[in-house]
Amino acid sequence: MKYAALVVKNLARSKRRTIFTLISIAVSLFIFSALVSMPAVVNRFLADPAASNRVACHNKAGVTYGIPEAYKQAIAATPHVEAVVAQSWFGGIYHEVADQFPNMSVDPEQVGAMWPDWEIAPDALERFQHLRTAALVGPETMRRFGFHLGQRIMLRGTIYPFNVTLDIVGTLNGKAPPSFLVFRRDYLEEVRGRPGFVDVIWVRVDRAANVPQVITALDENFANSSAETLTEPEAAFYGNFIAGYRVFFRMAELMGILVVFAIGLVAANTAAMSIRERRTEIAVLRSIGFPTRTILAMLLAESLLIALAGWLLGCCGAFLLLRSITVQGVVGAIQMPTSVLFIAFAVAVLIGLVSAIVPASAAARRNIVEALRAVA
Amino acid sequence: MQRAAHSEGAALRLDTPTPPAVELDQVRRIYRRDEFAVHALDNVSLTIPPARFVAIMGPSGSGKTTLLNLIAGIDHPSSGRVAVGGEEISSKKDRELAAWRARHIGLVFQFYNLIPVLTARENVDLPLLLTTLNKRDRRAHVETALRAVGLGDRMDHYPRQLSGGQEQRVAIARAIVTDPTIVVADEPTGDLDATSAEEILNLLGELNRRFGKTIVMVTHDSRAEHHVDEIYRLDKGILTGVEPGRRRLA
Amino acid sequence: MTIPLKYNARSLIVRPVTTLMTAGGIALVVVVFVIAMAMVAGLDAAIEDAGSPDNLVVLRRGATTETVSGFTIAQFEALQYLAAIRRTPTGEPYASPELPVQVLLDRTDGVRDNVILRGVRPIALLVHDKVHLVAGRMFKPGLGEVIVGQGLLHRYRHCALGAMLPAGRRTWKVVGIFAAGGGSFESEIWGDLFQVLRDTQRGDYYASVRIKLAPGADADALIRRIADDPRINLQAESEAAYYKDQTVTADRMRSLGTVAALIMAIGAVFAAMNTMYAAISARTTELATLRALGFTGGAVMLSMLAESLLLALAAGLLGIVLALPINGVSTTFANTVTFSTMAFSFRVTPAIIGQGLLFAALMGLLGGWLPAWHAMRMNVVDALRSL
Repeated sequence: MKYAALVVKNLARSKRRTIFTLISIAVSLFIFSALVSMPAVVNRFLADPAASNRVACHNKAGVTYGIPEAYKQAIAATPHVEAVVAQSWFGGIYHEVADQFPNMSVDPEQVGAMWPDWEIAPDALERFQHLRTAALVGPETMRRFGFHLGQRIMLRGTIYPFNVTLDIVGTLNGKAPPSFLVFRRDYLEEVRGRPGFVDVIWVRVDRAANVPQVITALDENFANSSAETLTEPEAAFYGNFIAGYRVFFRMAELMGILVVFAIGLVAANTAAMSIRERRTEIAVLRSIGFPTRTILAMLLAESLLIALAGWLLGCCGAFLLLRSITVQGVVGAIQMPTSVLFIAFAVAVLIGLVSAIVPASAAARRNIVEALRAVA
Repeated sequence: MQRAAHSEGAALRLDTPTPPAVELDQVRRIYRRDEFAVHALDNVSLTIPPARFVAIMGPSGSGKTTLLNLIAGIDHPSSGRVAVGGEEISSKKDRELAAWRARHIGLVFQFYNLIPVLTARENVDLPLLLTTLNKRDRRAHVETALRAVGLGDRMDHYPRQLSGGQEQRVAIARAIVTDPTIVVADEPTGDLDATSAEEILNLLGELNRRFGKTIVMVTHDSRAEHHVDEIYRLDKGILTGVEPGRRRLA
Repeated sequence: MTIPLKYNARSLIVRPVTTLMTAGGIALVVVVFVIAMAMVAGLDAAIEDAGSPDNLVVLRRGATTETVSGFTIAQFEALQYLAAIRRTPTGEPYASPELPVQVLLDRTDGVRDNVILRGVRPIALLVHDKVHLVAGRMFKPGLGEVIVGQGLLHRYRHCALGAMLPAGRRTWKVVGIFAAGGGSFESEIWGDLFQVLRDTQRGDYYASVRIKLAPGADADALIRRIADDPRINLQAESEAAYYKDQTVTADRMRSLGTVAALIMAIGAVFAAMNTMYAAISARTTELATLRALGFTGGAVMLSMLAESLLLALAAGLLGIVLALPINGVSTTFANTVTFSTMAFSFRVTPAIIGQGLLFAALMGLLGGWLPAWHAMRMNVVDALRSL
């Protein structure tokens, strides 16, 4: 540790260069961690264990095809099924065409049992069960349109030629997608005047281990009927919609990798420049008797310190920034997963070491006599 | 100056008759430059007794610096034997040499070669980092060394705030702070004006007298003749003669 | 009096490692920029190329896209014989009632995607003039036949000519493959309107009508007529305007790519500054000599800026060369408007190449500005003394 002061002094030698490199690395790690966060958030969402014993039963042909509402009774009677909620998409907009957000109707009776991870307050749940026009709204949508509890709102139909008037009775919390709005399906059916078909029937299975068994039982039960079903775990169901974004995520990852190479070049350039300038000094240290590995360690420590400071600045910046903004959509808010912090840390360490290793080891091993002569 | 860091070296010397400070036996150093072999040193043998202040003189390209580098253990002879303080160094590996230099050699360069981002105190502290001394002892050693070179009032100055002569004093303090077996100086006055050069030569002479330090100095500064005990003359890589300096007369 | 550019080019060459590493950083930024923009251009093209200039899209009032639109067959009947709509020689109007539905299809890589199955009548091939068969023939109504867009070939199972394709609740026979000039129709399956309608079991309704204007007809008058006629009461707009609104997906990608490239560019600018500062400090005496020879400070600054610009432009070219292989690579992307997947190809257009170079030049100028300014302000006497 007695060499630490020496390392710090060397970093302060060319403050401008150190700061520029630091900014360069920080900015790059910032964009890197933001880019890598996007796919990571989705993967985490799809792998959420809380959703692992929820399955979606829908028409084999596609969600738009719909399945008979009557399937609910048959599903509820299936062994290991704890709760059944039918859902129909409404897809309404609030005032403007651009005001799109996910909104749908669900059967009110078992909402609490189906989505315990949505952490709906008990009194809100009760109001939802009693008021026909009740709606539960995610925090992001609440904020976006300035909604408040008790407010009466009107959603314009886009698929349907009618509007619905809703009363906000509570909020969705916990792991609920923050942009969701759910209201009662019996209300939609009433306005719709064409009851009988639903988009999806959500099924809660008692234990995750029984999920495959329930899926098989349901799909076999409805095989050869007028509406054959495809039952999927929640993650796979949402995966169908997210699948189309794979290119987007692959792009984000590709860009992330390019960014890492770019930082690597910047850091290596700085290390090479700062070490080249000090060739004579390094030779002097060696002539004094400093062992090669000590000198190497000091040079690497220098580069590592810059890279880690860049990590601290860039990654934490991205972490806080992503925390403060949310992006609407099924997935909800983009928050940097802790794993990305670690990945970025590893990248920083790697860049710190790799960028300096070549010039540093060359300088630390260079013939002292020639290095000393170079000055004279 | 006290031998604080490496007492085992001192103990060794008490048991045996004091060996010569430097002993070269038929040393050759050949450089390969492209196709040509340059004989920088050709069959040089010499013995420098302990506690002497000697100068190696000769024209440019005579092999002075090569000789000094061999004594300092920063270069290897092509053949022959180099011993410093009775210890053969020509057979040592690079890694052992580094540790050996830290203990036994103090180096002074023509262009001082101070680390510009470190203060005088920190520059002198550098070699002590390689010892097991604690912070307080290191501080004490550094201050002793800086006072010995007359810079007790300039300890926290950076090299760029010092004159050339003062910078060279800091370099000398750095060379003596570990109490090395010998101090090796390469043209220590080469970049200095007359007054500063005279001061540096006086300082080296005084260090030799007060602390009994062996000092080997390469120079083509004729003033040096008045300060040293012996002068070794080199020409074209060959030792052409040894003559007494005029120190006693001065 | 300006310092010749040759001097700068040689200065860059004598420090190859630093030059290459700095250029590499800038080049990678350009690569990111070009790839992102090529994706946006590809998406834009896929969506916009679907339209024809003299076509109108008719939807239910308030509907933003076909997938959320629906109206009765009576409304269509009232609409199709309007005078402004072009007719075939046999008197059949160029009015194509359509019903696109999303069906789950198995990809060849084992995943499932939503794809559009569009119920149409044979007139559709005349109205969508960019759509034409490249293999096989048009489906015959009522026989359970479909034609498949060539963007789906090889990406999805059972799409080859002659294959039996399960889509929706039934299985269809593929009798034709069609192209649509790279537009999003190429990622669709087209089948008989009435059979698709029956397959969905959702009652009798159409989602949209595509109409082609008769030569010389007034589009605005027709749009007004469609809206105001109480028997029709639908909303019409030109296909161009309709697809323009649908490029939000591409817009999102555009902003992501631009922001990513911009932030990376900030990093690259600082890296370039480091390089230029190092280049200048290594040449302090040299530059001072130039000044002593009579070159002005401005000339030195210009020369340093030129050097930075030269480096950045070379890097920009390198980046474009590195990114060029992405051109023409085709892949699929979620169309967030139709909730279905569409195929598109990356397009590195000349405009994107130009923008990439401009972007690189900007990085060079920004990165060179401060160091060049310092070079101009350098004290000649001090700099010469440091020799």
